[in-house]
Amino acid sequence: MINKGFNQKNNLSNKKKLPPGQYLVDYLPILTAGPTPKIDLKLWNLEIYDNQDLMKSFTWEKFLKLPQSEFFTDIHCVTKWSLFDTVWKGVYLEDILEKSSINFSSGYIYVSCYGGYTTNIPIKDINNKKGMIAHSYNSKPLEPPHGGPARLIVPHLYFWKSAKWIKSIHVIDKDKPGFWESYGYHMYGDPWKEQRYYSD
Amino acid sequence: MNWNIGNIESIFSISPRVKVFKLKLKNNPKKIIAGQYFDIRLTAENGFQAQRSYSISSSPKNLKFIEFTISKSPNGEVSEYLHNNLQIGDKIEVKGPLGNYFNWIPTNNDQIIFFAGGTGISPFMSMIRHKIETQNNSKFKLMFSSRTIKDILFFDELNKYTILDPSFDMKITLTREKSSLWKGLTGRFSINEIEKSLHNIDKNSVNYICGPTNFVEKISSIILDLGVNYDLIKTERFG
Repeated sequence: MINKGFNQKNNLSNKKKLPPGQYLVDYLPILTAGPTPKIDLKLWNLEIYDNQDLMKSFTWEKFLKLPQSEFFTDIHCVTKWSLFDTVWKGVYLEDILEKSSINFSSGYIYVSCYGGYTTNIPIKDINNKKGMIAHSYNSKPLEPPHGGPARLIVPHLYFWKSAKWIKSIHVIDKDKPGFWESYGYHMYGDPWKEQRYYSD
Repeated sequence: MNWNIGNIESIFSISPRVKVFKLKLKNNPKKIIAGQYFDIRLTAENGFQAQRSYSISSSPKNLKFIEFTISKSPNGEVSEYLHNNLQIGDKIEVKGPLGNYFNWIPTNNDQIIFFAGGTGISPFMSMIRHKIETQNNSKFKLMFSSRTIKDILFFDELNKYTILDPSFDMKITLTREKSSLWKGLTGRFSINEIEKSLHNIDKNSVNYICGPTNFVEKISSIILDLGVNYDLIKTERFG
């Protein structure tokens, strides 16, 4: 349906293609279902589970000693904004799972966060450097409202999958919905297929 | 969910920057829950499309007509078109109702505090109108932050509800009002004022916060520091 008189107004550089229904922004918005949790780095801990078995636990210091990488990527939020050319620094998920002696060729990860947020992602979507736990954004420590001290980055899926304030990862055999997935959002969330809601 | 058609039935300016758009839906949804939103999609003649999400501010009891309370945001691709171009009788594409989290599903004896910044009142209007219409006896306390007297959205209606319903209470603060005509609170809600709002209300009450990001961050941080349980705080930020 054509809306007479409606034209593209956004003058931001649009050299790259946007996923359907998205618009480009020039800053990183903050969208979260709850408050920003107050996290003490001295008490910060990242726990990795193989199903229910705790395989490895990383303090903040240990986490920073893992192989560090940079992730240059575009991001797409289900609330319709996209941001091009973001730079994240942190540890690739496969490096963390390898250090935790987990066989992660198949299945899913179920991510839990400080504050209680959860989300689910297929293992195939974090292999081959497709997913990172980031502690820096555009060369600066990640600010708490943006998920600091550390958040997941899985940018080829809608950004609700890139869980803020990550606390633990369970590698599981059978998929189960996380927070937004339980409230009617898509189980997978591919922005290029516009998988926003459960029925998409 | 498929795209639906909304016919514009009325457009009202309710402040210098905010209009209320009333739409008649072609296909009525089976149910609407207070706090839900719709996606609006606009299409240009060259095929360019833009989508945005807007909360419903009308009562969810009415499945045929829905209202959006929309602020004209600077350089807002969609909101500017809605404010400047949309006319009564025009049609737009809408999808919804959506969102099953930032809702109020009425039960009796709920105790809720709402913190609204500007058009953050929108989903709360739906909840408050629903409470009033159904004579629900839940205790609602609204903490509403606006810029100036002219910017207070739904002022008369909300005032009326405070008189009609003893279980609805409201406190307004104005952050940029200079006039001596305003005898109420000014500036941002103080910690003291927020602490007072938490008194006389059950410690298990739910706290809803909706508004600009800075407003939501500030209020949620204060109430966390005041000891409110993290799980009892629901937020919706404009981004």
